[in-house]
Amino acid sequence: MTWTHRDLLPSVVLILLGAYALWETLAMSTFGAIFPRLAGFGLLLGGIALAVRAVWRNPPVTRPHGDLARPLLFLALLLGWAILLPVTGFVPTSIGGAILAMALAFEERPAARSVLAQSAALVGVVVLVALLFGRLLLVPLP
Amino acid sequence: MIEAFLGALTPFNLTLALAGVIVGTIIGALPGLSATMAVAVLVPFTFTMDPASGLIALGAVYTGAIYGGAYAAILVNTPGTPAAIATSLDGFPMAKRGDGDLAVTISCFASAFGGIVGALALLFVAPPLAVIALKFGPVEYFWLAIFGLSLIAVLSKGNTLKGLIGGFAGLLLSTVGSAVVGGDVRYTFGEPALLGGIHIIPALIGLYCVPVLLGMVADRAPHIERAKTGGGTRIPEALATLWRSKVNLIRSSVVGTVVGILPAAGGAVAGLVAYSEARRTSPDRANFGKGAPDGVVASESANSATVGGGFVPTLVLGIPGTPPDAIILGALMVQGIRVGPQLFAEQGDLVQTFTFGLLIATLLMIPTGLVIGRTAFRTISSIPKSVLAPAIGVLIMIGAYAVEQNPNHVIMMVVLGALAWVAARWGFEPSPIVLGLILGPIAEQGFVQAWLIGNASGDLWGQYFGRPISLGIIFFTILTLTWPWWSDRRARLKALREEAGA
Amino acid sequence: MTITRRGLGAVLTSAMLVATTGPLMAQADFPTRPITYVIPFNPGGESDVTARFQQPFMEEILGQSVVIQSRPGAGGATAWAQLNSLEADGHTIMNTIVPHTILQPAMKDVGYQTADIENVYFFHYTPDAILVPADSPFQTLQDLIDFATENPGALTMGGSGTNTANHLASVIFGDLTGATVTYVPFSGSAPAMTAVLGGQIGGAMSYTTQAVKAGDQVRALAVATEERVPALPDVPTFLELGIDHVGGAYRGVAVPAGTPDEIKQRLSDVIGEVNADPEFQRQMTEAGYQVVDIPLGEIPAFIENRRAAYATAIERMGGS
Repeated sequence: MTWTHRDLLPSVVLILLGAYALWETLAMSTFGAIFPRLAGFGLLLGGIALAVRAVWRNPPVTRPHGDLARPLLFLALLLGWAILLPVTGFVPTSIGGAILAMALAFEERPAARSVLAQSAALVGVVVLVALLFGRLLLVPLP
Repeated sequence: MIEAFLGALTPFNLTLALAGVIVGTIIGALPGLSATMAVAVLVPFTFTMDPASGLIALGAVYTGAIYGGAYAAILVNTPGTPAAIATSLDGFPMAKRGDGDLAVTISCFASAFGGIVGALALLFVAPPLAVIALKFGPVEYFWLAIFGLSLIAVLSKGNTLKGLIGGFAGLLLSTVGSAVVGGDVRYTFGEPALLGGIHIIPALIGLYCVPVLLGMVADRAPHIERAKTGGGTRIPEALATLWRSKVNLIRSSVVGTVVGILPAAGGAVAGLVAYSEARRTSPDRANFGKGAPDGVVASESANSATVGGGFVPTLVLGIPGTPPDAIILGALMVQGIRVGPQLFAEQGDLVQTFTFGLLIATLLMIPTGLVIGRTAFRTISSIPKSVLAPAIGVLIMIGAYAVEQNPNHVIMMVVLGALAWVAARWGFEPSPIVLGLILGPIAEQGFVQAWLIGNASGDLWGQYFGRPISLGIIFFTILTLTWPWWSDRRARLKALREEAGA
Repeated sequence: MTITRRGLGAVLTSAMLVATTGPLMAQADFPTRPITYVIPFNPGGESDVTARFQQPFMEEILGQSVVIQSRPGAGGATAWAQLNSLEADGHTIMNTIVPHTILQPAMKDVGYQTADIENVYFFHYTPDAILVPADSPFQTLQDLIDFATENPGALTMGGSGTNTANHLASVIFGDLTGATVTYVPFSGSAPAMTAVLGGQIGGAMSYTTQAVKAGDQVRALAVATEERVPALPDVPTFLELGIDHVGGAYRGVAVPAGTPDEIKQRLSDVIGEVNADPEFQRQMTEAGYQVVDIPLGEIPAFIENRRAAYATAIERMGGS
């Protein structure tokens, strides 16, 4: 089995997911189980079909470009940001999050001046959004 | 009727309409803030006004918000509201290749046209139209949802199998939480936070926007191409496109109005159905999904038409046609206005003043939309990603939170976003998943309710297959699914005939 | 020596004064900032509308603005499960409903128990009402009961949700009359009403407020109140027809656990004051709501009473 059969990994995930979904439906009432079963079967069969097609036809796939490190870090950042929101409040967490995000999103090495300018802009955005929601729209923020 | 028209033209009401459209557009444009939210937030302000003005304000905000959703859809590939999902299918590819300003302008005019059609329907034929709303029972909703789900198969850009799988995944996600029918608690892992299920707005943002953000970070290329022609609004080009697409435009607006009339079906369904029909009948079919302007025309005119259409059942029957209508209905109740057929009879001028206000707001959308659109496009395409990505990050954080002030929604959004990103790397698009998520409950509830009713009357088969409207929908579903095959065959036959004749 | 004793006396007296007036002072100061009134349902629904009716009156009495926040999810369970994690200084209050808060924990694990909810006042209820479309063959409730008894399960009655007030009411109705109907759950009162108006189902187990909203398009066959509802003068009560069913959805206000007792009492008094206002009463009754007064002191007895009333039905529905 070569790793160029890229669809095999997703198909395994799908088969497992479908199987799990179906297993959970055993505990449901007759009516409640109908659509989950439909979805579970769909995922299961879809996963199998995908695997079959991957092995049999091995269709050409394009590799998505770009490296993995930055997106993964960004994802971790978002997760931390989301979890910390209710704990440390919207404004501080978002300022921190935005600055860190900026650090991850630079296209090429920036000059110190533009770093400062952009950080200031982001702080401004956070404050503006917080004011907009907190004062004008009366949405209580953490 | 003339007095009602003049009533809508008072300086106060005009200001309200203008302000409402601007505020609504901006709110709708921000990913995470939906039209429902925009309306909900502004309701308290309307209590100090008289009912007509309050309605005009809310209607204007609603119109603006539905339209504003197109901005995020086109420029950031995140539908600003669920209604704009179909807009992102072609709007974003257009933006990527430098036609973003054209897309924005097209959506502006298309939305205005659709909004006007919807408002006119409300003005002239509301009571008879309301009857249609009533004829739709659980069975019809079920088949409508099935139709919507079948569109997934057709609209998947080339990879039908993965599209279908995505749809099933969305379907599974839609069952999380406590069920309306049967009361089971499904897939919650014992977490009370998941009892309410996966909320559509955080899911929408997570599934669409997070992968875009991650893509921005991974890629060195700029997010969208700067405007080819120096950032004008390309009005003549847009108008020419609309004229060429006039059948599409009119049809989509009508579809939008009708779908808006159906309670529980909102802008998302309307945009989708219109888009699918446009694609089916367009000679430019191959380009749909890669940046065909017709797709944007269809989606935007349809979703704006749901505004006017949605008010039909709301005002005539007291049943909200779309989620923002539910809120407006509540606001009316607090003001002491009783809706129903009596409303048209006793307070006909109120309704007419409001409808004219809505028309005016829709027209005002054109200049405001163009201005905001040009600014938005210029800004988004020229801000460096290092500021754009974090700024969008801030917005989605608050957007996901603000819907129900629930921090769990934010976490839900990020988790779904992570899954969507991985799925995208494996070749799965987010649209089928979102559609499964939206249509799943409609399909499931419709199915079970129809079953209960059919069982009670002893005529299960007839319930599902014996009703005229359902049959119509089933027919359309089959037509849409098999159309590619039909048209291929027809083309081949034609080619054969030509060969034989030559 | 006398100086220090006097001094000590002064200190003790002032300490006592502070200790006794402290809570009073807190009460006099309350509220010191806007109050957040959380509604576990979508805007436009009964809970939201009645809260909005209360809002201006409450603001006038309290001198602070009242901000209504909507936090829907799982038929209210999401918000109720979060209630006790909110700030308990009295500035956050939440709308509650009985039977929902009794039914939900009894039927499944929803993240809270009935006893967790600290109610301070129940200020109205929406009486159960059986509605049929205006063109229905059933002119009186007896017609409906006869039909359902002769054709068990053939009559479809819609309601909002499963294991909810409407569902409970339909089970109780069946128990009391021997009529067997098929309950069809919808995602809310509005879709259920749409189905009734469209003739998709035979009738609805709904509330008087829905009947008022729908006007001439529906016929209410009976209401679950002690006396006829002013907004629906021609509709008999269940009691008149020999069926012992009075009740509906009782809506009230609760605070997070740990809120000081004085504040709870103050809130209870304020809501009672609002309830007594004739203008407020007029708004409520015109829309079909029954104003009722169950202040803080009477709440435990009320909850017990309701729990007993629902006990058989809950068992029938498969709960504990």
